[in-house]
Amino acid sequence: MTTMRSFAEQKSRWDETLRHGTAIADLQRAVKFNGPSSPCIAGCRSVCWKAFLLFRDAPLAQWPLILGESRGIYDSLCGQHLKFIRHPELLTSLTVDPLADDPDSPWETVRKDEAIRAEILQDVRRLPDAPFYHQEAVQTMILDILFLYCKLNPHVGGYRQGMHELLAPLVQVVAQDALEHSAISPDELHDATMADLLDSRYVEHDAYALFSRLMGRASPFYEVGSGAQSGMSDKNIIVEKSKYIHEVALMKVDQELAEHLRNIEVLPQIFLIRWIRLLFGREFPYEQMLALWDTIFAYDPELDLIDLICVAMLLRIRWTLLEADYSVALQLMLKYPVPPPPHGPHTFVDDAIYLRDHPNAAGGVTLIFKYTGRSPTVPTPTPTARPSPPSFQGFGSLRQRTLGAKSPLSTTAARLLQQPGGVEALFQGATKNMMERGEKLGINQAVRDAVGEIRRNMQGLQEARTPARGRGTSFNDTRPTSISDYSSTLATLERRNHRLAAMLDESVNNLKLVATSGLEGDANKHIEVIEVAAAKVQFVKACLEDSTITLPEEELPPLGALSISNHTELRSPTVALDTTPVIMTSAVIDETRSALSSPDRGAHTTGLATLPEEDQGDHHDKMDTDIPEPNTKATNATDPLSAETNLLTPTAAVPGPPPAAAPRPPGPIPTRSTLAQSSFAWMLEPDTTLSSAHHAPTSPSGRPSSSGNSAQQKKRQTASRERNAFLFGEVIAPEGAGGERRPSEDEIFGLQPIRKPA
Amino acid sequence: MANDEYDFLFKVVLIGDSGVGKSNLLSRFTRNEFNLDSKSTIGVEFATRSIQVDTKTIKAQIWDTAGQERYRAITSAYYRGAVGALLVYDISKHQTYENVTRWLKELRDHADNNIVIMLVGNKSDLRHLRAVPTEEAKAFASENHLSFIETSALDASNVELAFQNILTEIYRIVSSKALEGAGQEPNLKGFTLSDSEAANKEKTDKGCC
Repeated sequence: MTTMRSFAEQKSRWDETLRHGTAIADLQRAVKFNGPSSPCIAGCRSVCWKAFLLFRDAPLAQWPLILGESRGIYDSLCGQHLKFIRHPELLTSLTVDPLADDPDSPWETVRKDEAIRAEILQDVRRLPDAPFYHQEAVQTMILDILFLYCKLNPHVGGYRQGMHELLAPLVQVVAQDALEHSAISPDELHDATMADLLDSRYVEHDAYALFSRLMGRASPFYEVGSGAQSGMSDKNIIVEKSKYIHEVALMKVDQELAEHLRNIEVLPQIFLIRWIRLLFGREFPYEQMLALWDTIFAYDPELDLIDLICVAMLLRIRWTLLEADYSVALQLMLKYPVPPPPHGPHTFVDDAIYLRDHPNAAGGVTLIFKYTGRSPTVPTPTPTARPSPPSFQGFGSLRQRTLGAKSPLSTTAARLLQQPGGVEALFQGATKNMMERGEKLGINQAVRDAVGEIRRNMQGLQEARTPARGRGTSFNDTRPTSISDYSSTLATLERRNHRLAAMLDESVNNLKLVATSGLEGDANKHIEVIEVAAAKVQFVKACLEDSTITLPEEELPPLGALSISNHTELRSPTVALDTTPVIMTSAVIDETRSALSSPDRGAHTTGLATLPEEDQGDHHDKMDTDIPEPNTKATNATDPLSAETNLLTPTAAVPGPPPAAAPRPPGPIPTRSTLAQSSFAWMLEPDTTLSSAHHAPTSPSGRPSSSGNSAQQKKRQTASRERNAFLFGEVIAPEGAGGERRPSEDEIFGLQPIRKPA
Repeated sequence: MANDEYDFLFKVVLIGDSGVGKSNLLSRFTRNEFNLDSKSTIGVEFATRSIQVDTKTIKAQIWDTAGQERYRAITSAYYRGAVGALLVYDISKHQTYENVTRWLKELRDHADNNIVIMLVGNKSDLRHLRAVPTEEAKAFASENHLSFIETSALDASNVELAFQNILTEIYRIVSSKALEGAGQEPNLKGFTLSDSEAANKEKTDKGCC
């Protein structure tokens, strides 16, 4: 990295910079797309940064004045604080006893200052590899700037690690554009403003000004709160900010991801502290990081968008994160994958701006889809505070996950069905109204009382109703225009949906009639009407689930459809997802759930999950046979209590790696539960029988045994691991069909979270 | 992650003053790398490596933090669940050794009582600059019931051994407690090292130079 460019090059860069205009809006626009023509890249980056951070709305003519002022201030600060450090000989000329026990003695001050500088220097020496940073003069410059900043801003609490990496790029950028004053011959000097702005004598001054300006907003990221020395609390700004990013900002736009991170117990500050303090400086390659800073300084000099930039980064890797356990997730976030062009890091600012204007699930979906081509179903902005049982939420997201990750077909469907937020909201509103009306009229009560079986059919109604409501919005409205391949499939689907909708219409009307009748008259007749309607609805549901079912040309055979539906429900669950639009959200499900008494969730889940219910039975069998005493006494894995007993043994071992491709549905909503998940778990032997056998050799050195039977031991061990792995899955996901939730590594191993007596 | 099968997962934290070589100990152990100009750690770094002890695979999840993080933006998250700590100082900088007491206090305040602590004098390759005599540190460790070892992340001496030792020590405690506690609910008390036990372990267990 060369420090300075030639005059001729600087001149053309200067012209290039100003070609876009010198008003801040012009420069902002020019930077926006970060192409090769960006004035930060083709022109003088330092000029742009100064404009964004220091000059703002000031006209070009005032730029030298503004700089002149800040340079003057810096000079006087240096005179004040660096006098003895730069000229130690001056100290000896003082008539002060160097050993006097006076805290105000300049000797004492210098000693303290030297300690501060030593601490800073230790980090400055460890700046990133670029040769520029390892020039003696540059290191001294960085050291002096940091030192002065700390002297002048004692409220920050002194030098904090990381400030040096925030400052270093500023110094590099300013230095790179600098022009040796003496090298400019007077006749070359047409442009006094340029010569002044790029004057190499003021690299340090200008870098300080930029750094101060930046730290005006960034210093809170470094503050450690009131209890810096004595307080043990984590209540400081960066931790609170991290929490906010996770629990509020991310939660708003991608609830599923936020909950996943919470479930695997990733504390956001673990990675956010570095992201934020260094302004993402370590997360991306240097040049890309500079481009990111270009955009941040241009559009967000107050650093208000930092939170949303973090959120945007998380969204970009959300699919990977959703499948990651604690350790994988953390490694991913501490080594953030470099975003491929053209969506380099600077586009996170665009995303952040978008999220600021769309702080909702729909905004999240849009971005996720934009960068990954897959969109999650919009999770529910639950309209009312109805109690929603945890298991059901799990189901909701299970469904989303499956929808998001299954067959290519489902991906297609997700694309096609991507809904703008407004339409989505409309649908949800409609569902809500409908259900509420139904409830008021007592229709649901009637169903519940009269025909228990119909409960499940009503579940079907919830799903089937969707396309009926969707009639107003044809797929053409929502389809991304770029996808043309599917239009014929779509047209067919559309026609099919219209017909299904028509079928539903009738049922709905009949049900309404029952409702308006106030249930007076012949109860049996009402029940019959409801039953028939339900059966039709069931049929429509089956058709929606399995697009291969051909519709009857005329009216539908109501009762026969029931068996078909049950059959298909089990047979081809994924197809169901393909044709069930985004609207099938957990809000809708919650509505149903609260409207009806608790439905048979097991059966329902089977229809949607990839794990058929029979599997669960198999698992039970296995447990019975495989696990030796005393574990057999607790075989009912679905019983949390017995599960706990069960886990006394095999906890420390962990099942093998998660299936890479299959999306893992989240576990039940976090409950502090079994021992296996508890902090004691790590203490537990993986397998008692094996462990007692191996305990005889207790050589303290812990050398791996090299005996001949090690292969055999290994084999047995693997077997035991598999068994343990298996056990884990069962107990932790008692729902069985809900899939296996591997306990996070943190859960498995840790001691109790450290609790300090207050 | 590849090779994700293990019997035990132990979280071990690296602590000690800024610049004593924590990050290089981590990279030496987990990736066999050393970088003379390694950047200062901001926040937390984290790496894993599995080793064999007896017939068991132990996965070590090793956390590394900025020495300056005594300013504790992340203290509790950092120590949470840690069963071992390598308390590192620089044998060529006496101040970093003096600060060991402060770090011990921090451990007492934040980590579990039963955490296994190993005192590590790093940069043992800097013989000509040695400021902390081995015997002095050894005596200090003994008084405080810590294991002790001197290492050099630069020339790799004893790095492997240091981690092997602390992980083995943790494993011994865990497995013996699990045996004792078989059939009854284990609890944290079961993991407490008696002083004599700790002292004894130290004599027999630790290689040091």
